[in-house]
Amino acid sequence: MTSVAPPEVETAEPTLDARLRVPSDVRVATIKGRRFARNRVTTAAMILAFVLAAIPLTFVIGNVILKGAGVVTPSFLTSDIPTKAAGDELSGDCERLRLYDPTAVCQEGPAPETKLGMGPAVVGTLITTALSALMAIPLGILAAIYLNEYGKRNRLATFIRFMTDVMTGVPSIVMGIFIYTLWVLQFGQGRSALAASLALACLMLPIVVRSSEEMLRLVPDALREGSAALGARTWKTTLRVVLPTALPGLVSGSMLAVARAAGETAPVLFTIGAANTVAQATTVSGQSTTLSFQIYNLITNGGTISPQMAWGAALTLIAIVLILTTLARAVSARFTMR
Amino acid sequence: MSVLDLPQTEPVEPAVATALASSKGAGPDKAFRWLAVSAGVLVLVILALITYSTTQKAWPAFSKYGTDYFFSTDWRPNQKRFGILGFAWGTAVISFIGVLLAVPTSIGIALFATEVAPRRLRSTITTVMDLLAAVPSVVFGLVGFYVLKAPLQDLYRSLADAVAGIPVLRSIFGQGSAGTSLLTAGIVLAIMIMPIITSVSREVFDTVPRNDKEGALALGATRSEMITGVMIPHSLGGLTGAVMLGLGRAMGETIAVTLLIGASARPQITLDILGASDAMPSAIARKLPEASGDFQAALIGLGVTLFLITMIINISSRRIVAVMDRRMKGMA
Repeated sequence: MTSVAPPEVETAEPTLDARLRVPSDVRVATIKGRRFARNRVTTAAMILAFVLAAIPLTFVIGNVILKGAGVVTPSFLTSDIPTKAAGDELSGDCERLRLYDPTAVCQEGPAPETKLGMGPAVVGTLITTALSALMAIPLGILAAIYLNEYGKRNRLATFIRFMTDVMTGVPSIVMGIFIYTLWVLQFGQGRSALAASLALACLMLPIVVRSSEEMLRLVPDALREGSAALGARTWKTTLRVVLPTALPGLVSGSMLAVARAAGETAPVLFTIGAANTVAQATTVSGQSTTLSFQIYNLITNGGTISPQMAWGAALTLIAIVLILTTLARAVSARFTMR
Repeated sequence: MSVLDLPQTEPVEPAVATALASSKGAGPDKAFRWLAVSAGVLVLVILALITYSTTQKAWPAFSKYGTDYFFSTDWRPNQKRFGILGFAWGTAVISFIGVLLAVPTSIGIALFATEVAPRRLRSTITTVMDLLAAVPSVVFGLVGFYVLKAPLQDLYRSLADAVAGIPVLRSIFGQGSAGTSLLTAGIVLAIMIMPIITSVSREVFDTVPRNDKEGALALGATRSEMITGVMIPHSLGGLTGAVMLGLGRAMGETIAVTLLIGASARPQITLDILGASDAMPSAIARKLPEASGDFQAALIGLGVTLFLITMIINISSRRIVAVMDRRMKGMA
């Protein structure tokens, strides 16, 4: 191809636009009038589309930070949930309350001494998420090893790969119903942190499998062949060569799945029960609560201090989720640089 | 796919395996392989269990109410009337609004990211979409409920007043009683499914051969003509898959919708998108924790129906993407 592009190109792959721009006199001469205008309009529409996506993001995160920042304190993160938080008749500082919920109906009277707290939800979120990660990540990576190292393109592997893709699209509430019908109704196990983490693990599993498989695929075959030539069997090659090479990618994929699970509400609704004190929530087999579940409860139950509590919980939750997501991206950026 | 496919493919392995069967390392290898296979099969087992366990608990509702269960809008749990069509309608309408708003935006963003944006801006776009995908559903619900509900209520009221005399518009923007409505839920859904549609569309656009694009430009096409003439026709199948994937997500989205759709007790089939309604997952989320007996079975049945619909949508969309992917790779 004879290119008119000049030799001084800024990036390895110049954009089509950059090359189109070079013979500027030619472009002005040929692309005129209506066609030129339409091109401009299309470009403007694309930029507008991006702005349309950026606005809600800034709006949501901005609101949560603005309204949650005053609530989240060390004591908020560790104290028990005030038992009257939901559907109560507490009166508070009216002006301050309206800041959080413009429709709040305040009662006159002295502001009561209510210590806001989300401790049990923080503990519960950490426990359920960690438990589900413990279940889903090893199993997911093992399944990915099967798909990429053993099964490859055979029928079973292709079918599992396809069904895993399909499973990522199963609504999260269905995972909650599943564990509720099987674990709570069928086995009579009762609602617990463990039940909730089972539901979350079902949600995470396909995400971990697919992202791990992608990462294993990035490991160069030459490494496997080298290991095989030295006499190592597939299992040894996988454990000693493939997994260590893919480790950063596996970590970042798993962290994204964990972040997703930490923010989920629907699978937890029927499986976790309730807890109001940190002591209650520090459990695996007993009932517990999570930040997302508390936010939902606070909104649906109303009450005067609920908005404040909910914004505080939301800021905490978003912080947890975004820290996990950012860490995952940082790890994977490192990985791809090498 | 790659030229250097691994040497240990199926046909070679049996011979090697028998030759080395007694030698060191064969046992652990077998065990490890078995472990990996069972982890893979676990995915299938879970899907089968989901189908079995939920259907079994919902069966009383299916068998007792038969076609009425699916084709009636009469939902009165205290009178043991369970017709889910109203909820299905609510889900359909909000998903439609969500997809309608999200698809042009997402495709625009994907085109912007692949064709227009300079390299540095591309990573910003990815970050914005990743963050948008990371925001939990309940947080969208929270912001919608506490911040947007009141202003939307005013907006909807004035909209309803404005169209009060116009026949067709009156039935679409009729009520405007509260800020929570089908439209509110649909808009939030659009925001929530944007990331997935954008990322799949970007992957699809990346498969368009460079030669085709450059050919169009060389023939004098403007960028917009290149996009409509080369990229869109080339990516049509993949984009269909992306849209259906987004649709599947929209239908299953629970908490934000629960908070913003208005929680009507007996949703009806209506085009009034400013009125309160309810969706399938929201009804389950709201009532299942306390329900028992037939009511419980009916709610789980809603879940089964939702599961089956999203499965069908997902399977067909993955099929479409896979087929298109293969065809595109063959052409490149």
